[in-house]
Amino acid sequence: MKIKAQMAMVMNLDKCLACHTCTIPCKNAWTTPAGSEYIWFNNVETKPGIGYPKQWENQERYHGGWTVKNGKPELRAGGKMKKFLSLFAQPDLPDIKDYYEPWNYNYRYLTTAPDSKVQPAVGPRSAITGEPMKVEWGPNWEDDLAGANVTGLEDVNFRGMEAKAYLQYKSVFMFHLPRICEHCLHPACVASCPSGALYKRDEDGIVLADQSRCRSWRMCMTACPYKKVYLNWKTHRSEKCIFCYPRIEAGEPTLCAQSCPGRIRYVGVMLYDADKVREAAACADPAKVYEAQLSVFVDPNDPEMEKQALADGIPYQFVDAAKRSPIHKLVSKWRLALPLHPEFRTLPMVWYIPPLSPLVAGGVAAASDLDNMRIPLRYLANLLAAGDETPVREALHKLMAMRAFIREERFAKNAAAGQTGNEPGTQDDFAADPFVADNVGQPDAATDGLAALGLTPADARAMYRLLAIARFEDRFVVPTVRREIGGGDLQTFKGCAGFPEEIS
Amino acid sequence: MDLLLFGVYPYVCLTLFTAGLIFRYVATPGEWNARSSNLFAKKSLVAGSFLFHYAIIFTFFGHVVGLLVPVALLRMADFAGQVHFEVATMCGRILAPCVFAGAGILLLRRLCNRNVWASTVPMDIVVLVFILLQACTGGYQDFTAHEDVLPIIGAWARGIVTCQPDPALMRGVPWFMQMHVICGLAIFAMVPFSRLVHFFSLPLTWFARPFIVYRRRYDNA
Ligand code: HEM
Ligand code: SF4
Ligand code: SF4
Repeated sequence: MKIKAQMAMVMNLDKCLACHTCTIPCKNAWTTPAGSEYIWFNNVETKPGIGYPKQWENQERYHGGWTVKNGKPELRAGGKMKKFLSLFAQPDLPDIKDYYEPWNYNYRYLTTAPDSKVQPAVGPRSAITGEPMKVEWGPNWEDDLAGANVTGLEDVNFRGMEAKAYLQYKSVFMFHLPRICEHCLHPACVASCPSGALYKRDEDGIVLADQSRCRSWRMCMTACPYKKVYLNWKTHRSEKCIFCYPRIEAGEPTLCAQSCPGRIRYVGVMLYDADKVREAAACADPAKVYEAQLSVFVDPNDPEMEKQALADGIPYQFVDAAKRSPIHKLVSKWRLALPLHPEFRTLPMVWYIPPLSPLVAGGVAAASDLDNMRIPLRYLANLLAAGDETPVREALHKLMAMRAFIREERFAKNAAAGQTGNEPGTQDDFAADPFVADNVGQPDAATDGLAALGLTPADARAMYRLLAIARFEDRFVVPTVRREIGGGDLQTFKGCAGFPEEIS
Repeated sequence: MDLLLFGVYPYVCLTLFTAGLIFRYVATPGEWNARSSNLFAKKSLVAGSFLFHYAIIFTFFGHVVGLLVPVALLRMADFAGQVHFEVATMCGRILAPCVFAGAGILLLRRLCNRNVWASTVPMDIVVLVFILLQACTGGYQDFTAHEDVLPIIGAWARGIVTCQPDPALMRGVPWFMQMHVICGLAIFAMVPFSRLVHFFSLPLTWFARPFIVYRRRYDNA
């Protein structure tokens, strides 16, 4: 057993509003230089849809991620020898057209144009060549289902479903999927880099691309099943999400997480057993990879594990943060969050709480009526559980039960305070901690509903607090790094871990 | 003239080659790469790059055997004189057109695809043009010349690398082979200043290392 720490993220899809606020600070901070225009470390997609780059989830097309061969994980694109002999060109690499050709407008012309009878107009110009171009795809082309009646047919998450039926106006559904690099436990990008330029930081698991070692073999781009490594076309080196490590080291959440007005993002530490990673990735049945990955994590609240973690050199700050980690609660304790496409076997570390949705006509308004949700369960299962509906069903059930319980409790409390049952809580109610009313009679039915799912009222309150109130200090539990460890100032080391030196 | 071209110039090129490589590696390690353009034009790269690289790598080994291995050794292996000439010519007849076609495709896509063109630096073009020239002059020898000048050039090349240059040897060599030698040396000189540095980074260590790489923070080594 070898315990390592991993920075991880959970996103609560129930609350993402696709405002793209996350994308903006990320783009501005990390990917504005020439050559990186088309690179979005964070992007938000509308589902159903094929996303950015087109069909990134379709591994029949891109051959990303891992398969299992003779009981061992093997890169889907082939073994080392095969890849080595095809270093010269990568037929599986997405084309710039699959991402999109970045463009710009000559805004200055709008203010400097000479007087004329017609309004000045500017057309899109390629950010690569500077020539006028036709805009045909973008990092958020299918915004709120734009064109999804056509592109949606190619969405692999409709596996085993009648895609056509769900793309009809009357039964259509949608939700948003914000994506960053998954900072996987078993990253295919790292494995496939022949020069060893990509690596996982030992201390916090953040996956970085070393700019001074990248030789432009661009294997990582093909290997990453989430298509979250990009080649800067000007420097010809790989760039990828750095999990805002300079901020993380200072105890701050990532830019995308901090800026999110929907407060859907959680950042925290997970402890895991590095010796079990390969075994989990070698799980042959795609639908079992999720459970296998769960078994890799260790419980930081178990005193034995705590001792082991400290013995393995994890700083106390990290162990402490792991104990208070919102990620640990959402992923392991309550199992509300699920990994994105676990069947890719990279053991991703950005997890998603599946979204609830209104019931379609004909559904019964009961907590158990998940099959009549507008967003089909099957679709979510294909996205978050390799097609296995059980974990998705359980997570959604828990969310519904938590809601029912909190509602009952609030009604009971209001009734006790002499208000009619269905009045919403007053402003004061929200400001004060709503859960101090111990003398209120327990809402029995709702408590039973929780118990059936293995939750206690205390769990439900904690879930409510974390998911609905979502205070800053609850969402983000990030340990600071002690400067004396390895020492050194961030500016100096920018060049070795993420950025080309000339930017710093 | 001979002294300049076949006595001094080779050393100038080789000096540029070695000193340049060291300088480049120390000064701009971050720019030491293959400058992939895979993202912009995939089909033409798959066609051109595979053809070109496999052909050029075989050609490279052919040249090493033909030029640098002492004749005595080749004799021991019964691989000298007429046999050597015929094998070399036959290989050349296959490889030269492949290199030419491959590099031709690579050059065309560089000139025709507007995105590839936008990410091209002049050196990319110069390199490809010289490689095409090499394929032409080398191929010309293979297809037309019946006279075996290879032992002479071999002797001259071994003279160069053993620091006993004999420029006079090259006097009797036909013009296209003289050009072949001159262009070839120019390519050597270009290596440090172009994307050609990439073949020194042949990632063999990949086979020895585990799939997942962990590195400690600020571990620069
Ligand atoms: C030793 C093994 C070699 C490997 C693994 C290798 C690999 C590569 C790779 C990955 C590229 C970039 C292709 C792309 O994505 O655009 C490339 C380009 C190139 N290589 Fe090599 N190479 C090798 C040897 C050579 C040799 C011996 C030469 C010739 C002297 C050569 C000349 C070139 C040239 C001219 C290009 C540029 C092609 C273009 O203009 O697009 N390579 N090589
Ligand atoms: S900022 Fe938050 S709510 Fe807005 S798109 Fe990003 S993840 Fe969704
Ligand atoms: S998601 Fe990130 S860590 Fe995982 S394979 Fe892709 S680039 Fe690597």
